[in-house]
Amino acid sequence: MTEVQEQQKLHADPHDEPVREALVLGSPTLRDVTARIASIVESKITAKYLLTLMVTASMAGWGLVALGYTIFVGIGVWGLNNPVGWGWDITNFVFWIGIGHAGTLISAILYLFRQKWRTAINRSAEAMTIFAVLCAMTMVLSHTGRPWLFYWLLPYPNQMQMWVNFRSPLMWDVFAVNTYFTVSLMFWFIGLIPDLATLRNYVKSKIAKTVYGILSLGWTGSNRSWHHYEIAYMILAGISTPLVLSVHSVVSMDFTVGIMPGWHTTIFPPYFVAGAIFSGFAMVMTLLLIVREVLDLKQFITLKHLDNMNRIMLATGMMVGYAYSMEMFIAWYSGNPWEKWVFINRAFGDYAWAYWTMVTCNVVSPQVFWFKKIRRSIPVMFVISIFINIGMWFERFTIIATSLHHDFLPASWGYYSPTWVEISIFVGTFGIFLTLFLLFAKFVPVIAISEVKGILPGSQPKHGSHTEGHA
Amino acid sequence: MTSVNLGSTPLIAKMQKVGFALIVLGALGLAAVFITGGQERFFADYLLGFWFFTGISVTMLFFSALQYLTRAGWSVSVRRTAENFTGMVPYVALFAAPIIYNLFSHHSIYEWSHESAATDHLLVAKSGYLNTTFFIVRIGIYCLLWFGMLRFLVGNSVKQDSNASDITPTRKNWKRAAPWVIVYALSITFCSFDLLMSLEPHWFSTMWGVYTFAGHFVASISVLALMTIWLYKAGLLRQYITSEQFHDLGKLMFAFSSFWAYIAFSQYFIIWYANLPEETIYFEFRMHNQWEIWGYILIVSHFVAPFIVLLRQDVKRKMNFLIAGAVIVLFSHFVDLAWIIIPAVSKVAAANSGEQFTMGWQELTGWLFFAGVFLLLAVQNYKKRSAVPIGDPLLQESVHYNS
Repeated sequence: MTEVQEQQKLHADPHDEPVREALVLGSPTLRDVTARIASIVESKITAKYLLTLMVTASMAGWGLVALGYTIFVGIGVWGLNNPVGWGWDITNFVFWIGIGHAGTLISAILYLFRQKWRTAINRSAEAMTIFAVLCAMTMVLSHTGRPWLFYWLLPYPNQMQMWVNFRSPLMWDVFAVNTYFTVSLMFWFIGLIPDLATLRNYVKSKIAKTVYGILSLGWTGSNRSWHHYEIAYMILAGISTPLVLSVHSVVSMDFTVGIMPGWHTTIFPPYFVAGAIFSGFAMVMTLLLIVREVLDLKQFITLKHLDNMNRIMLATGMMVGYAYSMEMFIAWYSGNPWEKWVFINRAFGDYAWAYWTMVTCNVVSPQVFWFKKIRRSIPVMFVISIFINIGMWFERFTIIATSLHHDFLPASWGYYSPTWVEISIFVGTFGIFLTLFLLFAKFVPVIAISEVKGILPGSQPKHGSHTEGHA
Repeated sequence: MTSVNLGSTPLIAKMQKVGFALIVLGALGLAAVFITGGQERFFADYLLGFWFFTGISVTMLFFSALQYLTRAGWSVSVRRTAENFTGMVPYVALFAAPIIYNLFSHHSIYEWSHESAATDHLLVAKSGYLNTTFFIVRIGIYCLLWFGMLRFLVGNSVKQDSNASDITPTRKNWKRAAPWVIVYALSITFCSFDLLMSLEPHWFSTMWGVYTFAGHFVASISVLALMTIWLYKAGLLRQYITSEQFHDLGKLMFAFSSFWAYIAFSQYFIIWYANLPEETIYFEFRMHNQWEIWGYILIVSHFVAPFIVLLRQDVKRKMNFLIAGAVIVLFSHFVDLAWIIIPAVSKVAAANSGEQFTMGWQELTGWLFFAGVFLLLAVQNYKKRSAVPIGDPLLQESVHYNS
């Protein structure tokens, strides 16, 4: 039996899933794809859109007010105390950096793994990466206390003969996060060029034509341009891949190079990376489900895509669960009473509520994704993705607050809760993130047009007689 | 399509001969170590060879499970090669028996099994986990789990050969690969705690499972690449293997030798920076007494050399470069495990009988013995079944894809 016959036989049975599911539904032509996605940019701005934008912008504005208040008065307006010197500031920083991981994973690592389903989701995931890293930078700068002196973090020759402390992991953060931001932005922009050129040719308004024209850097779509483009894209994917691992590894070192029980443990780097991908996918899922519904992109973001993302969330959720268990096991195995005590305290102490929220959301809730029906149920995955977002925030909070709040001497024990200022700043970062995302969804092609065209049936060359494309 | 049985080809016959020779050589070497080097060193070398090849065999199962889990198309034509190198899995318990025997002797390489452990405060605290009964039970559990994994995954994979039109066996593997991956992750972690980490029972690292996994995985890919190249060079399976498979195996070798470096560096760096006595003891000991040279070799051979050799795109499609990469990686994996096991046992041996040792030819003996076993059991599999999963629904995709 030839392969084609075999495929047909598989498809013939209605109870059988085909071996490879189609990634674009309704077999559109190349023109259809362009028209569908470009029409989002061309369509008129609706009242609903403006209203949503106003809500998110107000959130951002309120956050900026709280941020201004912090800068004006000082960090004393936060709930930080001795011994809990890090609270929501660093929790939110790590949270946002984590969110920023799915984009680069999808665009770089899945690209290197030739996962064709990435094409429908990479553009918006990368955009989220950039916006999330911006939020993270806001958090970490405000926590320095005197953010107007941020340039002291950079090693430059100066008349004060002041030099940064290269032995501090906080310093490494500056380099890691900035590198990540720069490369992610470049990667995103390079990927956008052919699509911006498409828009340049498509839009009617003169202003829009000029703006997209400038941004598309004179892209002609010639064979030569494509050749260079593909090489640049591949190189950037190669550079971004180690960055996906390095950024959160460096962030984890903020904790692990210290000798605090609960912070200092060797598994932290890969554990943080897995957690970051986990939380990043959850955030991409939450927003993508809304985008898919509102902009009606079900043709491109199919249930197969969502299914795959749910699988990744299940897998990374289990990795995070593995790390939790390793920490617990080794805390017991090490025979170190401090280690043991910190972990018992985490699970049963003052912050037990945070710990169990984390475990329930991160380890227990994704387990429902073992069932295919649930992996393809939009309401369930929406709820679970929000659970995971919550759980991953609590993971960072648990690590930071529980390890700090009971110092070695009982005299220096404390409890930390945030003030309205910290909560407002956190709400504000959500405002910034969502506002930028809304603007992106309106003015930039939310789906990589040229890449989706590349996975349409028949677009890839096949060997010999196997001309009937199987997606 | 018809089954591709390579059992009677000259390559497999040669493998069998080499396998026998290695077993004889290794056994003689081990005997020589037993007589001249003392029991501790003998068991250390035995453990080194045993875990090198058991780790690879079990990881080959994981590789197969991973291909099913991700519905990978590219790897179908080389997947059976991985499945054939799992021959040691049913016999792990048998080969582990000497290590368990050793636990009860005065020359035990595991300090926690000594009588003196009863007076060591920390070892008493850990005795709930580190005791002989529980150790044996755990090894037994790993053996059962791995055997179950072998029967299920490879069993279904082979069943698929006989009937290409009914893909029920492949479906079963697609469906159940994920739980087996979890079984693998937990068993390889705890087994590496038991066999390796507990050689220095005062020391601990949460990274240990990930660290040993990274080594086994890149070593398994290297074995897979070497065997695929040998088959190809012998003129076999040429209609199934293309330069695409070589390219992909090369990419995985490159990626995971870097992954190993990432994990190894993170573990070292965190322990070095924090400088807590109970943790640094592990590296402190290995940075002196002539052990340090092997640490430096590891940096170069497990990371720098494979990185440079395999970085370029075109070399991953050139067999001689791939062979060089794979040999470097396998050498590094050996040094890695030796750097874990031998210094620890030398410390124990010094305490037992006052005899300390450094690396020497002796360390190769266990490896040679198990290399022979590993090859022979793979030969058995090549004789038994088709060398390509001819009934697999994704085989054509594997043969025809173009990256």
